[in-house]
Amino acid sequence: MLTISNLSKTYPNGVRALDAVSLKIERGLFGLLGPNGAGKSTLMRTIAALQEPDAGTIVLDELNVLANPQELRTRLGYLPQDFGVYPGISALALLDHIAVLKGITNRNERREQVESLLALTNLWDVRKNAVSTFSGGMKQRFGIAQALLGRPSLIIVDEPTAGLDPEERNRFHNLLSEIGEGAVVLLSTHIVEDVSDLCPRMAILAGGRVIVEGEPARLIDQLEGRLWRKTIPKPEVPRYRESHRVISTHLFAGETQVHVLSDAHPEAGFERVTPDLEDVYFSFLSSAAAC
Amino acid sequence: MLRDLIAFEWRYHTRQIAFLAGALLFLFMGFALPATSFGPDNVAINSPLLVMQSLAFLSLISVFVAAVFTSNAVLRDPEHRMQEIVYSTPVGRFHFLAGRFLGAFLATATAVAFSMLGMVIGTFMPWLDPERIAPFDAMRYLWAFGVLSVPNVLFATVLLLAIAVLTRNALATYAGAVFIYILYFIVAAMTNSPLMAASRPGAAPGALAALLDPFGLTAFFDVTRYWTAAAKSTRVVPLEGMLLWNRVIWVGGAVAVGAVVYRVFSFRVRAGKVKKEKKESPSSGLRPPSPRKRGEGTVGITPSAFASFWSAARIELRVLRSVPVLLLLFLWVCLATSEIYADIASAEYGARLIPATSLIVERLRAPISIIGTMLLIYYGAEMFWREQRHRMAAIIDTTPVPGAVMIAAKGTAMAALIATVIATGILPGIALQIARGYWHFEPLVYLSLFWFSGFPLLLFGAVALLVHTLSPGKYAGMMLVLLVAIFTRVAPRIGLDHPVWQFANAPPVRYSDMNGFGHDPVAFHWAVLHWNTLAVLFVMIAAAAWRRIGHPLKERFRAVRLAHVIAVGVLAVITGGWLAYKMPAESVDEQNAWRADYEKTYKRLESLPQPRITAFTTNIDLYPEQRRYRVAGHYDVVNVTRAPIRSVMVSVRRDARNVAVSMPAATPVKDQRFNIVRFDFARPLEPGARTKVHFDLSYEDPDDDTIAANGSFLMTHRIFPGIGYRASYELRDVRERRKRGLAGSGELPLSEEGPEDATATERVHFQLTISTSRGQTAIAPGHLARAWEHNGRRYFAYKSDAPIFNRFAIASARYEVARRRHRGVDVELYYHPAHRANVERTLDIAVAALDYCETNFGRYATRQLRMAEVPSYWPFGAFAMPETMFLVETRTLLIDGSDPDRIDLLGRRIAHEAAHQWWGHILAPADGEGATMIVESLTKYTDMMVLERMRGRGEVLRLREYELDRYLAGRSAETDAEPPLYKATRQSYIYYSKGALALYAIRERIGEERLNRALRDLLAEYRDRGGRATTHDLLKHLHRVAGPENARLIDEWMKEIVLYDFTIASAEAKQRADGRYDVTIGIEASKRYADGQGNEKPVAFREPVEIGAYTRESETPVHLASPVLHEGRNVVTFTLARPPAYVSVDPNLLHIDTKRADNEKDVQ
Repeated sequence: MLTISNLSKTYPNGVRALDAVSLKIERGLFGLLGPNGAGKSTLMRTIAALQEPDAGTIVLDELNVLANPQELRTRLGYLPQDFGVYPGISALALLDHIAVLKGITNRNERREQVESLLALTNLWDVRKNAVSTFSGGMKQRFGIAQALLGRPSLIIVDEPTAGLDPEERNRFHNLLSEIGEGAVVLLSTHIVEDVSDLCPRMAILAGGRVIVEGEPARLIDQLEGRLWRKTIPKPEVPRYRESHRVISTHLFAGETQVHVLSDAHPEAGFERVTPDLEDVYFSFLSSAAAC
Repeated sequence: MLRDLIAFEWRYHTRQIAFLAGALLFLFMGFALPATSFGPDNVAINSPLLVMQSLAFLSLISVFVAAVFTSNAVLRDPEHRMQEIVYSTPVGRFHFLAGRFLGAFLATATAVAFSMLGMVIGTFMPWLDPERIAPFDAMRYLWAFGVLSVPNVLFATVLLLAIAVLTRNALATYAGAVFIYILYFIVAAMTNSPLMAASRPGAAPGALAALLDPFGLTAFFDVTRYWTAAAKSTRVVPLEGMLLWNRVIWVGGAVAVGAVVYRVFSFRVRAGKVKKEKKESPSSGLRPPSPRKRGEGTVGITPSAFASFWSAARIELRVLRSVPVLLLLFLWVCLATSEIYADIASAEYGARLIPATSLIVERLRAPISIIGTMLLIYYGAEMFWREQRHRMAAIIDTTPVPGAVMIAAKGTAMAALIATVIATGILPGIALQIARGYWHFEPLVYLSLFWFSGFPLLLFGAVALLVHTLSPGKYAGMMLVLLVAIFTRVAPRIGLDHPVWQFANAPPVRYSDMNGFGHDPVAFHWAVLHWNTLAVLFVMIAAAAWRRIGHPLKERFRAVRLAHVIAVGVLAVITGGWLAYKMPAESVDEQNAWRADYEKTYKRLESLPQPRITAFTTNIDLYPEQRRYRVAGHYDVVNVTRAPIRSVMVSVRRDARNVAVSMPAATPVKDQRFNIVRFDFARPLEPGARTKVHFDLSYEDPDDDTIAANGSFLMTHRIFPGIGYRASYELRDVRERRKRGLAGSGELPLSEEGPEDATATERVHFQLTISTSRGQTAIAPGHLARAWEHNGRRYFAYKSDAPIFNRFAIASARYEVARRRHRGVDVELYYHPAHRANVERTLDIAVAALDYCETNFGRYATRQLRMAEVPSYWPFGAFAMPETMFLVETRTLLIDGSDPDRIDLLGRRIAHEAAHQWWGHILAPADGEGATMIVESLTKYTDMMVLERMRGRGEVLRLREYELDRYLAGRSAETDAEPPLYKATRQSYIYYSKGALALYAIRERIGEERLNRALRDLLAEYRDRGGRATTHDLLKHLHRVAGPENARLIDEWMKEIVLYDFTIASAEAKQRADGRYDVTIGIEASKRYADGQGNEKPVAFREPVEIGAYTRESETPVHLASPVLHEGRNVVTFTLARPPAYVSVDPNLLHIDTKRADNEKDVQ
């Protein structure tokens, strides 16, 4: 279990990236949703001991992470949001190298892990090719393979699906769902579907603070029967924003749809819609923005 | 649009820390040159010549800066992944390239321009000699900047930009920068450039070298080669001749490279080959490794520093197999080849040496150090920042691998790089040996390079690791490492004597065949021990503060264990303290003060009557293996003056130990500072009275090379006590003397009468018993009265046949000996057993010289002439002492004389030293002005005569062509006034080179027989009357034999500085009616008198000058005549049966012609 308490971080330029963040994360996939600049990456990097917070504690299974970064690194699998590789080195050689660095020094154990991970991530056939020549999806799968080396008990994946096509993303989701059983898997993303597809628990981060935490289904339930939709001409949007609690506007086939949160039927032309996680996300973001 | 692009580039570059670092670097370097009084003493530090020379040197650094800026200008797109955005904008190829190029060019040029600011500031420093500062003139800076710096920066930027644009690879760009350097070094090796240490006499740069030098330095030196002080102070270096062509070529080259880039460049992003995925692998569907259960801990995870290190090191080592590095190694092999070839295949006077391993290793040392340092600067940065650059850092830094492991891996890669450089440098050496059929490889000597040259480089690598750890960025780090490299090299010159300031700039460990490494490794290892402690400290800090991404320096520093730092720091202080304790107690400045004080204290006693040594009996006990020796015995002294002597001053070298000096019936009074004992007699020593001086002193582990395990060489006047005032203690450097309130140069002026008192070179009888280790032979003058063994040591008792100078030398080594008896003289050669090749020839030449001298000048003094080899580190070619000649192994017995087309350097040298027995020992000159002319010029003349008999006129002509160049270059480098030949003192370009030219020319005019008669008479007049002959005596005898018709010729050579310039303007051959040919030659001629500063005055003249006509087949002229030429245009006509191929004016070099290149012309 990963316990984060009162984590704060302010950058030298005054940006308050984390503001007393507290989370309790059990084994399994945990989704961390938030818009760009919400502080997700700072949180991830802090947990991965890539930077130090100003205040707060992080405990992983009784291990004080901040005090023992080296110990944490033996239990950590990390897929950075954006990474590169040494040019000209094959997937097999590079995985082997990282496995050694992670401390898998037994040759057989290492080979077994490297090979099974290459198979798992479907990179077996290209294992002798240089990673630097991989396509985006392949490189991302290589990233998850290296993160899984050493059977980590904490896995952090930072925006793993950004830039992947639907098929690749689907494949990646399957991968994540398979590994999420025994370890704490922290999935940071701004793509709601990643979370709704995969995560039994989640939190939304905005402005450096956790604005909501819970199970996606429960959070959706809270909106059940209170969400309304109407198609309106675009110039009317500001008027609706004034008179109703608009949580989001979408374009649908070139026309503007507003989603409004209301306990009662707001006005003529609105129809009730079944909420999904995206609506939850927007409703909390809009309420966070309101206060 | 271009303007906006350039404006953006300019803003971008000038806001980089690297730019700031570069500008500061140049500001500092520019400041340092004038502030440390760069240049000769008699030339203003801001003279146009020195300004240009300074900027030329700084150009060498500009390539480094250009490499950083250009790779920054081009590679920032792929590096920061802006490539796709930038390349997809509509900006055109021209605008893009021009913008990037001009940005890098302007940034580099601006950084270099800061050196001018530094130079201007430097001239205002209060400690400078005001006489050396000319009024400020901005034009000379701008001219030099425009002529040298701008084209250099232009070419460097264009070439590097080309490489960067076409390869998009930083390594390849750096390889380009190193390529430019290597090109320069190759040229430097070809031409004896001032930047490379060893200077070989007589190697003028060829036209090819002057053109090939990308920095224009060689061409610059070519144009200004013969400039005298007067010209150097005032003349602006003109853009003409080789310099102009060099600039044209390299600017043209820049344009050409630019054009190629423009044609080849395209806005295509280099896409990696994207692999098509194949079908599902059969093994897919495997479960991932299951995560650890709670409480399971880290089973299977056993982080192993070694395994991680090895894995990481293997990744680092891959770089060594990359194309740019292989290319660089190839270039390096070219450089090493030319370095080795330059010295061994073309040494002094173009002679060839036997390619002994020791010689090759000596030649490789400097280039390995320079190239190794450069590679560490470039690749160190590349290696250190690899994880950041390839954005692997986040993955690596979240693994438990400790920083120490990464540092160790990078250190290993550096070590491998250094080892590769050394190994590949050795290859051409071995190749040369095989090619020349030399099979004695001595692998251990080659391997020693890895330690003595390689390890210091590795220590420098440790500095690079630390600097990069602390540096905010890659390029700034690179600049800082460069700064460290420069600093450690200039530190000793700015008074920072302690080795800590010269970090990793190790003292040279010299190797000689005779003495191996000698005692050099001791000093090396002490320094390296100290540096190594510091390096451990650096690496410790670098390892602890390993650059994990996201962690600012302050946080990283928390990981540094203070206790460890203190522990190692204390060790470093201890080793540093020990070095400070071991260092010579005095700096150069203190030594100079000591010398000045000695002169001030004791000069007044110089004229005090002192007794003269008439004989001595001394035992010298050598312990070569322990590097110590003892000198004990007594002098017999007599009062030869007309006054009673009340006290005697005996001075002993300051590093002597256990000194005991005594005189009977005299009270010693000691002066500790100067190590002088004054003996006050109870009753004065009356004229004619005799007494003794007893002495017993030891030298232990002295600071010099005198005593060596195999190859000791001791000059007795340096190690024996001296009586009276010691003029040799006086400061010689005029500037230092002036600074310390001492007048003049300390040289005795030449007087018509000659000296009254010539005690300094009086002769003595001696009995000398030398003991040395078993297996060694001790050599001294005199006849060997007895040799025996006792208690495992060998003893040699030498006794004088005739009195000799009390300035002689002894040697001891494991010698073999070859003997020949000729004219009743035992000619002996004591040589290192491995150096057998030239033994017989050496004896032949010595015998030939003996013959010539006895026949022409007078009989030899005694019954033995000994030659003994001494180790290669002695800074002379050979040294003639009374009855003995000491030959430096690499410059005598290792000369390869097999090529008949090369000058016979061995013959010249042995004949020269043998001739010294007459000129210098049988005939000794009076001290002071002109003495060196008698000793050296007459010897030089003799060796030419011996050589001419053995090898013919052509060889001696080629020899004198070298001498002409040495004379003209030497007078150009003169820092004081150039004296005429008969007043020469310490100017080797006069007493050797001008002396050789003068005496040969006089001989050609008056005939060898007449000249030799004059010399024979001079010798007879002063034979064995030490220290009395002057150049006035020589002139007297010359004039007497030559007659009045040659008086002017002799006086002009001896007493004036006379220069000629002959130019053949036209040469035509026309067939006459009778079938023969009229040859008509147009000759421009001028004659000038020069003063000591080099100011010239043209004079009218009418003198016979040789004109020769030649065919291609032979060096012998088909026609040679001496028509009378006058100043201005001359037309000479003669008739030949067949048209000649070319004609030559003054073909036998009987005049000093300042521009000899135009003395020949093909006939039309």
